Amino acid sequence: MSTAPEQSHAVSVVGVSKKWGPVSAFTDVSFDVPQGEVVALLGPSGAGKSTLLRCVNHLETISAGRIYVHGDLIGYRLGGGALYELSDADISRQRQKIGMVFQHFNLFKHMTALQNVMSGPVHVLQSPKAEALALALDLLDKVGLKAKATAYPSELSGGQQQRVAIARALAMQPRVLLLDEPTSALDPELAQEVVETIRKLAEEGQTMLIATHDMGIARDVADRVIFMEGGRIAEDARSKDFFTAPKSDRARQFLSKLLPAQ
Amino acid sequence: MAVTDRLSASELPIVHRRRWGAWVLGAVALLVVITIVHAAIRARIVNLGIFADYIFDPLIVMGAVNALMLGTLALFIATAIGFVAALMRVSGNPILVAISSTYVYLFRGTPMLIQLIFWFNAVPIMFPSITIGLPFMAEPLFSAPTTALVTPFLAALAGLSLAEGAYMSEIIRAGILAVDKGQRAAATALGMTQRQVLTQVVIPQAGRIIIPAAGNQYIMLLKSSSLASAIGYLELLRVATDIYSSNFQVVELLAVAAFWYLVMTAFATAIQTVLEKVFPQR
Repeated sequence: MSTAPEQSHAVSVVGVSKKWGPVSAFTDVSFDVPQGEVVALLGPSGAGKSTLLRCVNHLETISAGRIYVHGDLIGYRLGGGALYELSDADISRQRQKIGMVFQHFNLFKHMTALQNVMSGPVHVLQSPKAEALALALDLLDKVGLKAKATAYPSELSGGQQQRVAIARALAMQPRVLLLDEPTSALDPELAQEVVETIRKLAEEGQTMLIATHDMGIARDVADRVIFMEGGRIAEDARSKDFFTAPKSDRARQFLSKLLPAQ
Repeated sequence: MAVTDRLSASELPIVHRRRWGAWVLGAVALLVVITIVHAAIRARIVNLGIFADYIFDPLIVMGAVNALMLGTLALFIATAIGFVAALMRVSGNPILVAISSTYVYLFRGTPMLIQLIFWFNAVPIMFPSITIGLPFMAEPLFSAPTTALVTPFLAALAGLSLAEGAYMSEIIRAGILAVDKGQRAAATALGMTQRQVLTQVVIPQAGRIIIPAAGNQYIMLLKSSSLASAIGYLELLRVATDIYSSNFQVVELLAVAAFWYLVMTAFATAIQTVLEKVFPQR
């Protein structure tokens, strides 16, 4: 696997573009995420935030540029002046260290909460069952759902499902966690318990890239905000600075619509 | 008004609407059924004595077992064929998609009876003898005329399996498509390979969706095994036909055959019910 110059960065996005035919999702996006940083991707719907996240673990292919996670070039192999897409097995191996949490939780419906959390270690890492079980119980305890270990997703509230989904991602001990609108499908009260879980992870130093509309996450949990609009980065600032003194007009407009009281 | 107003709400009796229309329709339907059954009994269409004589006749029971075997084997083979055809159909590769859809069109679009007779008659003409040999060997390992190999049973099994495989492929494809895309994305993001995504997530969930439709197809197959009578396979209907063509007790023997088909159908329904209980929809 090829190595990027910046080993210290958890994620490096270098000049990445994504097109579906003639339609452009985003163009020439570049940023680095240092180890341990929590970055919120903000922006209006259709700005390309979710698509960008899905490119980081190669759920979506990219049209130009490169993405590195801890120095590994994701999804491609550089050789002979071109980037060749890796095999299914190689990409799967890269994804093992990149956790992902989805807007609609996507817990495996035919498995209990516990089986969901164990699924990665057991099927992907081929860990011993006993070891995977102990880890899964620990993680369910951490998200406050040890009592729901034997419940199926259909028996859990949205907030509980999302916390199980976070535990499932953590079971792979990911170096980077991608969260795609983790609270958007939840009503405010349930969203709050998920925000608390994410805050706990941030305090433990988990590197996270969070596409969100949730100002609570962007302002209080994230260290940094990357504001996207029309497929480009309009502003990249510390979270505090972004909310108190946004530099771009677009960010100001966006914030004035979202936070009318301020 | 004044009186009821003074009563507190909890003291007022509540009277719900009666569904009189449904009861009237029910009575009419019952009358029709009684009339038909009465007419059948009065006409003595079935001689119960003869029916009882033949119900456990060894030939009839053998025919029923043959039908059950043929239908069950065909279901398993059809499921395997259908699974492969469904995967080809959802693969997105134009060649695989074209082959799979053409197969479904041909085998779902022609009567099963034609297909059965075709396999029994046309294959031996197309390939007069079947030879299995190794390259650079003078003598073949195995050689036989095709007519000796294509027995009525094999022709019936091939015909039923291939025709049913076309239906099963559509059922399985619908099951695969019914699994939420997010389930696949989550499994892929965990680091599962495409094969693991299929075996760990898609098949268990699609399987549950497929059970009721597959149960239906099993019942259909058990009854379609009667088509094999046309190519001389000794299944239930063929045995019954052979017997009544010599003793002319047509209705009694058809009733005997129908009874055993109903037993098979009950068996298939029971299997489906158990499977649905063991694998509940989540």
